[in-house]
Amino acid sequence: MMLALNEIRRGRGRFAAIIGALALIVFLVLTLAALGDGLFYGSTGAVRNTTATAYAFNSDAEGSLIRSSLKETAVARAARAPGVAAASPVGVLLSAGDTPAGEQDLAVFGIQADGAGVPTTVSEGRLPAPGENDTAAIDQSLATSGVAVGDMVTVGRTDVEVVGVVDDVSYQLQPTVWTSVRTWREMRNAVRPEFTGVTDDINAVAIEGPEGAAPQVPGLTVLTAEQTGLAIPGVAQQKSTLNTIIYTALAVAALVVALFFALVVLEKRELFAALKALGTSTTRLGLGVVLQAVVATLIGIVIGAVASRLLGMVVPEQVPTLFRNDTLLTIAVFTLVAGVLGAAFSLRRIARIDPATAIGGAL
Amino acid sequence: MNLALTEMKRSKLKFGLLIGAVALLVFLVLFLTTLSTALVTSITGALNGLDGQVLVYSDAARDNLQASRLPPTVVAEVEKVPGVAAAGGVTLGTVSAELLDGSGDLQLVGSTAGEPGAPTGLVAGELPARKDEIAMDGSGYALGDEVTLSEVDRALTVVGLLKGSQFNASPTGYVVPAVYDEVVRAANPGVPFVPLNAVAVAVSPGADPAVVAQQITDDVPKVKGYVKGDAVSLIPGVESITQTFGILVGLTFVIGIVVIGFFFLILTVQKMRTFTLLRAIGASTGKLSAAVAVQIAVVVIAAGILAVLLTYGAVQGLSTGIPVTLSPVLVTGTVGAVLLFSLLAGLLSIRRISGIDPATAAGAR
Repeated sequence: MMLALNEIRRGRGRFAAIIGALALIVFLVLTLAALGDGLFYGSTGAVRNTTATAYAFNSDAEGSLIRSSLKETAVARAARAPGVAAASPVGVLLSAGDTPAGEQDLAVFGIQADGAGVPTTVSEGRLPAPGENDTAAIDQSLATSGVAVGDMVTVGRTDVEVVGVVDDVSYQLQPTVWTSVRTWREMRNAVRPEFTGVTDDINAVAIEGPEGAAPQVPGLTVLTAEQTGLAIPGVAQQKSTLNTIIYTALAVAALVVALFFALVVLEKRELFAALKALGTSTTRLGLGVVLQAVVATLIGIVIGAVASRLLGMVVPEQVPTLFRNDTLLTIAVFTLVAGVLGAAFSLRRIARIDPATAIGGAL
Repeated sequence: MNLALTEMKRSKLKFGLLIGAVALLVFLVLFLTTLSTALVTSITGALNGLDGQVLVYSDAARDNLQASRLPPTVVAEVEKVPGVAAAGGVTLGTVSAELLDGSGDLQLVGSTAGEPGAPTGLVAGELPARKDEIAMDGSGYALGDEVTLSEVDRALTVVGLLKGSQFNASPTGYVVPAVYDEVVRAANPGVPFVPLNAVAVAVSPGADPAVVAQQITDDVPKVKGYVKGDAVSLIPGVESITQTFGILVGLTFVIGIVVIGFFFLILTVQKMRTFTLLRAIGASTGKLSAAVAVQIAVVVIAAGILAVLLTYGAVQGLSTGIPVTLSPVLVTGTVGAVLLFSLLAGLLSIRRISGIDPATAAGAR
């Protein structure tokens, strides 16, 4: 045991290089995962963090909140369906608005304040009260860009006063504004003149029911909140691409770490032969090798994780990142197991070393 | 040379592991870059690949193509602006369709072949000229296949195949404007006219697209002109996506080659005692450097070949829903950069050898 630690102490430069390589690999995988999660969560927050467990659309809409168009009467139909605890209208408008922080791309959500589909992550102020028009809660990303409670946001010709801030509810990477259905319709009709005079349409129906279930509503297509997120144009493709990237990076990182330790141990065969000639047991040598792998990997994981967090602080505001503890834990366990396995791979060869080689025999 | 190759022949396992590790890292760089490029292209390709250098939206659209609505008469007004050689209308929307891989979203683009706004990524067949024809990018179509548009319940024959022309990372179909109009009217009976989403403009030879775009904004009421590249970067969310994938690819590339460099650095340093001994029996530093360089080159080239095969296999087996192809420029650039960096790392440690007194090989530390 002491032998292994003494070698680390004496060969600081070499171990620094090994730890450096490991830290870079951990840093890469963690950063890729944070970028991937940031992009996915930034696209789907508005349907993940509300009280809705499912959404009902017209049958041609392919689960798209933007493309779906329903009469408000669909809400009552959905409310009567088995398994539906509550049903409320949802209107969505992708547009741009004027804010104290300048012109911004926005996704305006019209909701019923005491119904289904209401954001659950209010971090400051409040949501518009039931029946209250011309007020709105804004997404945290809009607050970060300089819009505060009490400010006015204008879409079309309609002004709303910001009364609250909600966390993690962006939609298609755009900040959201949550207001009443009536105010949403006023904004939408001003921005999209083809809807002038339309007063009874909505995009979809938000449904509260059992988690993960999509109740049957006659004449409508119902998707769970998770499926609704994946139905946002491009999101399923993005998620699938990013998952492929992250799992590939994780698998490659684990293999590279394992191969790396296998190589480093193989390079020390001569030294091991000499130690065996002096009476050191194979078990002791093996334990030393594994201990070195554990120490180097743990230090590499800590440095890689810290570096990744630091990078997260300096990436541009437009690049969403999300560092999740479960991702960190998975990657740390994978790397540690891979390091130990890689070192253990060479143990068999250490066991086969003939101590006589230390006094002149060829290896 | 002999020294390097003899060592490789005698230590097959060690060099096999090294080639495996380097191949995996090169594979990671190639695979990530290929996937990221494919995703970004599939989000913006339709707009990027439109024929023309300037795009015109309605000023109320606030830079968003999908929010832009223009009367068809605006094309003639844009054509009169100085610096405009030709202009063509472009319509774009998401429709439901029966695709080869089941029913789903289809991005439908209406434009006229030969006019600005027509797609430029044709790889087989021709662009549609009739109402029963469509050119497709995505979903694995072949010439002669059929696509049924659900809104009008009519099958169109695939007459052209496009590459790099998708929008929103979804299958994208190009039709003549009349088909697009028919779909919109079927979904919205009674609309007085089907609005254009944009007007694509070819500028006159020698004209500056930025100047022409500004001239269009000034001369034509209620419109805004954009140089095509600006219009692409203004698609909502695109900046976040392109920057995210830019960082992802950049980091993987840099870390991949640095880690490979570390490998060679560590392995060369570990052989320092052997090198010192070789110097004591008369081997020159130049000869040792050449041996290290040969080993690195052999390892990187073998690993590069393995990585390309791995990437090719992985790309074939992908099911991400976007068209992905491996670029020869990317392969050459990556393997070249890895080779260069690895040689630098290996030779850096060789420099230390030249400073070592060969007498240490005879016992002194």
